[in-house]
Amino acid sequence: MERFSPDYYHRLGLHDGADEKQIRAAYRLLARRYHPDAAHNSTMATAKSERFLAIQEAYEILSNADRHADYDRWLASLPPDKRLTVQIHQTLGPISLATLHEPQAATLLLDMRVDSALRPKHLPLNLCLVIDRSSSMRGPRLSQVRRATKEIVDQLEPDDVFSLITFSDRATVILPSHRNLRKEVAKSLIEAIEASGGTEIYQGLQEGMNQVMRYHEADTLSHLILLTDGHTYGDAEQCLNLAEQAGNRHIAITSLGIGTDWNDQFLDSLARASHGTASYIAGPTQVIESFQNQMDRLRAIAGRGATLSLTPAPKTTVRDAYLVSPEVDALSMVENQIPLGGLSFNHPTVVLLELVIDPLPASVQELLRWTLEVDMAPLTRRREQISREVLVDVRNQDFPLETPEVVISAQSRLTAYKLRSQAWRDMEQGQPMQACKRLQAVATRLFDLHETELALATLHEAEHVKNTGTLTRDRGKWIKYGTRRLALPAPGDVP
Amino acid sequence: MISCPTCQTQHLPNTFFCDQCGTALHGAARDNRTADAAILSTPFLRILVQATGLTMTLPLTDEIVIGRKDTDTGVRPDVDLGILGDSGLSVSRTHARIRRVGTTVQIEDLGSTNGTWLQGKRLPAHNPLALEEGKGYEVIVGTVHLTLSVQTKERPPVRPPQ
Repeated sequence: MERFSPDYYHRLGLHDGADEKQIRAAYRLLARRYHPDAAHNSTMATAKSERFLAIQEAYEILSNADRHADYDRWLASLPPDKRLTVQIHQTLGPISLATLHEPQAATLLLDMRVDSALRPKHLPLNLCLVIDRSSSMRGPRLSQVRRATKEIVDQLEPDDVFSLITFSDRATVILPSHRNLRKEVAKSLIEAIEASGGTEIYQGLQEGMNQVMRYHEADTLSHLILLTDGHTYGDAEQCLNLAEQAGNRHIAITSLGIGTDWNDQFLDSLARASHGTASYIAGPTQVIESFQNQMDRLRAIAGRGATLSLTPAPKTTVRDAYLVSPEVDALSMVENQIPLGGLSFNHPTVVLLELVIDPLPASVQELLRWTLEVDMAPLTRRREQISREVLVDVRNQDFPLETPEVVISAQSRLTAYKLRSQAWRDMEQGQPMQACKRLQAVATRLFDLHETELALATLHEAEHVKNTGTLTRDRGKWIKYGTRRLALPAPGDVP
Repeated sequence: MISCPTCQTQHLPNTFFCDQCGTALHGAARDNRTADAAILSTPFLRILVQATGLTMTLPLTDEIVIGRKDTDTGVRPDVDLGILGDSGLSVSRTHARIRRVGTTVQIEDLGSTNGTWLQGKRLPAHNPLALEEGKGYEVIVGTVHLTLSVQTKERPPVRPPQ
């Protein structure tokens, strides 16, 4: 078999296994941009011609059916540590831009998937559960939490580290961080947890961090799960500071609210500050399922501390960044850096960037460069760094411009999420009629997405807001977390 | 700038949805009718795709077209069996519809190539037949087996499951 250089797809700015149409489209843009004839001076021409030759070579292999198939076979035969372990597919909508005298919007989707060949391995966990045992947890809630915690203990592997903290007015270390947990002893200690007292989350969180830090090593996945059913008293600020410190150390916090009395804004901020997620448990019967979901999620994490860095071209502004899979959420962007947390085997991580493009002349233009950095150790013992440019053909054409379906679908889901968030802000600002209209618009989008049940609930909520001027506690939370899980449906292969 | 036809908010060209009122600005959304409380008193159509166990509940505001999406001709049926269960191309682009006529609900074959069967009998094309409320119907669309029912009294759950 022919010897190949391993990066033909990469040279064309594509993910491995891109199809014929994608290869042709990418080549056309690159060839026009890097053709030596398009250079302004001789130094630039030399630089361009080197790049052009590399692109040309890649295209000659990938556009020939036999050589392309040979190359794919060769790629597949490489051990995982010799090939890219994260495949990233970029989709720009619209496909090409128009020459205009005013700025125009563009949407960029980055779909990131981890090589499933790494799957048999998983990262050892360094997991701490921080459980609310205030008196309101008494009864079925706490008994289900005890059961769910014991089920997690049963699933621990010998190299996993586990610790368990309960809190009410103060924190108690039930199980300090340990490898090779003695499961029967652990379970009898869990069985003895009783409810009493108030809810002071900071105490529990701080003790949880102490336990996690004891085993916070390069090759373990450190994570903290907080479960509460109420509001914390007077220590919210301290909690958020702690969550931010955790995030800086790549320790994500999952915050789980159970019932209807917890403060969703607080738990959201807490999760976000640590690059973790917040979730909703409607009632005691869902505790086991929810804990199991968290466990499955952690077991599927392959890459840690993923960060997307953006370098926009002079005419490009990155207005906002959102996650659209595995769930819909706003992403924080500081100086064009976007922390993404972990990448999972179970689902693609899809980032949506909203761009504003100032007027550009008709030609192939670079809009943006991005770099993804992610720690793949110990699965492949290295830090992956993938970098690409986003090119677009700007030409004289009429609106609407051709846009891939996946971009419209992502924007539709994102619109439902944004309108829902806006409705909550309307309520905070004492504008229930605005919120009601906004919720009706959310329902319209949800019907369009065939999310009928959620759409109906949203309409009922709109009626409730109109009649009473308030949101319901239970249905409101359900809609909030429901519109967040409207992630893009994950197709089996890279689209 | 482009102006939202519903709320007149100004947006940049290539904006797909109005972030103030949710209106689709790109002609891409299937259904842009504003959902309001009136929908809560409309009947619902429940569809079960037997092979996959997938169920859908759709509000029957006027009609629901069952078919197969075709990007070349721009056909977008309400229920796309092309992705939901049809293995070949047995379902026509616009195959059948379920429609509200006054207080009744009717099913109609829209002149499909491979036919629509209701309770084992082929429906003559363009000849609507009434469906009873609350009853489960075995319907075959092309080669896809469905169970359909129209419900007006029992509502889908609108509260989180407890």
